[in-house]
Amino acid sequence: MTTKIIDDNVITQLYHEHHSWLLGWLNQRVQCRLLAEDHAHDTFIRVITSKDIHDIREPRAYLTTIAKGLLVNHWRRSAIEKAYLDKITQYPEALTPSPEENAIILSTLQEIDGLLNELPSNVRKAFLMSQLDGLTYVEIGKRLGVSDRMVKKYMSRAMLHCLTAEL
Amino acid sequence: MINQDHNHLPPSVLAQAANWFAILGSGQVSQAQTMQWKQWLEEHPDHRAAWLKVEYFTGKFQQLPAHAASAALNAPDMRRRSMVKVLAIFGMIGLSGWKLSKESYIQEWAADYQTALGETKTILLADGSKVILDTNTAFNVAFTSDLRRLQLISGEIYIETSPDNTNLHRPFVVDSQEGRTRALGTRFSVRQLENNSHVSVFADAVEIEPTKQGASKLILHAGQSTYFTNEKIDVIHTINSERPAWTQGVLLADNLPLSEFLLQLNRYRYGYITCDPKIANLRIVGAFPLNDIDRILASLENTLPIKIDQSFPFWIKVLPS
Repeated sequence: MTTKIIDDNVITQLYHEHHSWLLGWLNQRVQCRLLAEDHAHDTFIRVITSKDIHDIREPRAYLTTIAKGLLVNHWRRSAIEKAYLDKITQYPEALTPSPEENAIILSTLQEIDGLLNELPSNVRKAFLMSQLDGLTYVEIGKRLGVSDRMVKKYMSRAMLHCLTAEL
Repeated sequence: MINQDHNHLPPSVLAQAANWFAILGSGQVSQAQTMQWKQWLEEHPDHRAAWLKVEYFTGKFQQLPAHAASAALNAPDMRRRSMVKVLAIFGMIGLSGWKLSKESYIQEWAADYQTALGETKTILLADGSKVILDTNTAFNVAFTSDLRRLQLISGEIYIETSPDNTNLHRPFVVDSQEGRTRALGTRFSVRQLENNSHVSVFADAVEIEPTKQGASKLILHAGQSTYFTNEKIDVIHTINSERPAWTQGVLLADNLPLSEFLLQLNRYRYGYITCDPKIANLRIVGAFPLNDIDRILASLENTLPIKIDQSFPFWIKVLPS
């Protein structure tokens, strides 16, 4: 194990020169100060823990690249949460998960989404249709306009992706 | 999580496991294939370990409520869509007469004016009318030569109309999912709810016309509010304020049950606030500044026999203390 030595001055300087600018940039996009502060904080954490901190040539471009990634993930998480909660309220009361269960389900959904995100759209859709909607390969093939043999390939590919993912 | 020991499995074994998963999931498995799969499982401990991993993932899906999980994972994803595509979809929705779907996420995202959770905003329209957006609100502006039309997608807007500055005397209307609210004066608000719309009038009057043909219209006067669906208009309630409290950044509670109060509060905050039924009926009275929700929660904790649990960042539990 080697301990990473970070030059405090580099970070301090980066923070002083760009933090309030980044906060303004984020605030314009999320329209919520608290959220902007959270994202600015997370952005700097990413920068501090990244190994290229000494090679940053365009600090603002670098910061916004990281911040954009965080924002997109945040929007995605919100979209999933909203879609899930919208649907679950339509369930009959007896079938509605408890808030505890909802929290666990949501975290599973985020995990699965993160896992399947890198897959091509058709592969991802086929996998979800099979695992969640219980459709047969023939039905999935019809919906995606491909053969059931292709669907089988998609399924294999999606599972291999899960099996080899870093967890 | 997965047992560490399984992580060194050779890629070829993982590929075989993935392939067996695809074969067995087809629903058309022959007996010979099942036998082969069993043989494969017995051949090597790694095979069994790889198959356990497969079952770990399929098990994850089995614990999910399928319908809602499917909706969530198929939610529109901005990472996969370019802005152009979003706009193209939005353009189509526009042409087909604002047919609103449950998945209005994209519409909210691409709307002309919008506010984030916890945000309110004031906007001046081209005709001089003023619109204030409540939290989590989105609307479009569609002014034509004969109509000044706002399309409310979500949330609530408060409107102070101004006389049409183009001398065209175009009517001013707000279309929500359930119907049209026509201004017959100056100050009113429209809120889009899950399955209905809510209108409050603060000065003069408005006319409400539900979408469904033949549904009866109603003129609502200052100091009145009502809900309506696309078929009919609910009973009229009396309101006593000059403007909605939220336009002044305040949540007004007049003997409101705690559970209802938290629902209101939740509209201004990310995540999910739940209330234990034992304390749901505690009454809340007061005016609460919406710019600091955490402070409101803290003050509730100080004045009521409740405690606030924040084990998950997006989920606040309000429990009896």
